[in-house]
Amino acid sequence: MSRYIIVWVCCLVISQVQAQEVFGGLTLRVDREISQLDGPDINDFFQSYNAYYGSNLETPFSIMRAADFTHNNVGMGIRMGTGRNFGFASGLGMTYGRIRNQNVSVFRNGIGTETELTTRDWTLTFDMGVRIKSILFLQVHMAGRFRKNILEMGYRYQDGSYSLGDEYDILGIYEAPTTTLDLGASAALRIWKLYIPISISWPTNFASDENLLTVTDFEKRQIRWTDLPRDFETWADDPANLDLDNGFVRANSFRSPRVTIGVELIIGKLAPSKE
Amino acid sequence: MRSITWTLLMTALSLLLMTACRAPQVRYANRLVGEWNIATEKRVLVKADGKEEILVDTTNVGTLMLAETEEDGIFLSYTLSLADGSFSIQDQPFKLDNYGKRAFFYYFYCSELFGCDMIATIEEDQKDRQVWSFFRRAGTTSQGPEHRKTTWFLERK
Repeated sequence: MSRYIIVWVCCLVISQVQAQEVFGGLTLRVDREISQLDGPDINDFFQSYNAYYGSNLETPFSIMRAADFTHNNVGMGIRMGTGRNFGFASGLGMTYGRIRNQNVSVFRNGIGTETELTTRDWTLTFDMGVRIKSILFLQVHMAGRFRKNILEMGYRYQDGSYSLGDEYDILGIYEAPTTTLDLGASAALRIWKLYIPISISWPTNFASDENLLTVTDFEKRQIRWTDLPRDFETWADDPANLDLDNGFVRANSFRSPRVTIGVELIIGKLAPSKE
Repeated sequence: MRSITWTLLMTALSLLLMTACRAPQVRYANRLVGEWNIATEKRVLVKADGKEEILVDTTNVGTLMLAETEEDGIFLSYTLSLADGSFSIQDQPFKLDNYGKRAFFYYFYCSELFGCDMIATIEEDQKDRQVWSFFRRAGTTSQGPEHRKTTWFLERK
């Protein structure tokens, strides 16, 4: 059934393009991406780390909130449309954004464990739908999301020195990509040279991956697992019995539904010439 | 129609340029190729109360030679020689992490044994000057654990 729908949509697009004037242009975009994570595995690491060291911690790690992954994006793309009062509309774009979240715990002896989680998002978007009177755009929204999560974990010693070295196994830089194909919908208003979209999308399992948050470069003598554990206690005291299926921070726990509100400057035109 | 073709071409070109960029790891590695003078070595004991006790502070400690290998530019080969002749290690694997924050000396100090690596935290990263620190545990006192910090100030020869 879906195959017939795709063919029908393609035919509709081709017929629209051939029958009517085509217009479009380059767009420069900024947007705010509201990204809501539902219990990322990394919170399990923070909680188990706090539990393991217990009263030895003067300041435990805080727990990341769902909204901590919300960030701004910049990007560019192209948009095109056909028809006069009613027609076809489409857009292709790419955006980039990142956010850094720092989290610190401090032992009673003054040594701090500092983490910085950098989330980088490259997003390739594709919109396709209709435009009504060159003002309102209603479209299906599809996004290829290439998220990279980089966790830097170091110790801050009592004199202020910062170490990413190998004196403790947990130190290092961990990394995992989270790739998803997201589907949703978007609506937009065009006002003068500005295109103001709002879109919502949900990740699908298509093209998704099952990576773990793994230390990028590890010393060969390390005897414990090089993936960041969800269960720090077992990782530290009994690594042989760590749950290999669910015991590590999974990259797909960084997947999230996203709402994006933005503005695009149109270089070109997104309305018929004789309007 | 011409403007759409032009924008499509420019978008394709931008995408091509982005994918063609070399990995930061390789860029860092290429920048470090050459001979470096370990101009200063400073070794301190970081005490539990936060005070530092200077153990060693010497100049012209030795040289570090980093050479390209044929492994996709990620690994370099390092040759480390101390000026007083007390230590020399030749042609061992050297690597930087993806983000230029850690430097890996594989088989450091005991090339015959598996598992004697050394990792430096890169504190300063410039074309002709690098500052790298190595940390080790140095025991525990009643106040808490102590650590030994060795810092190399490298200058390009």
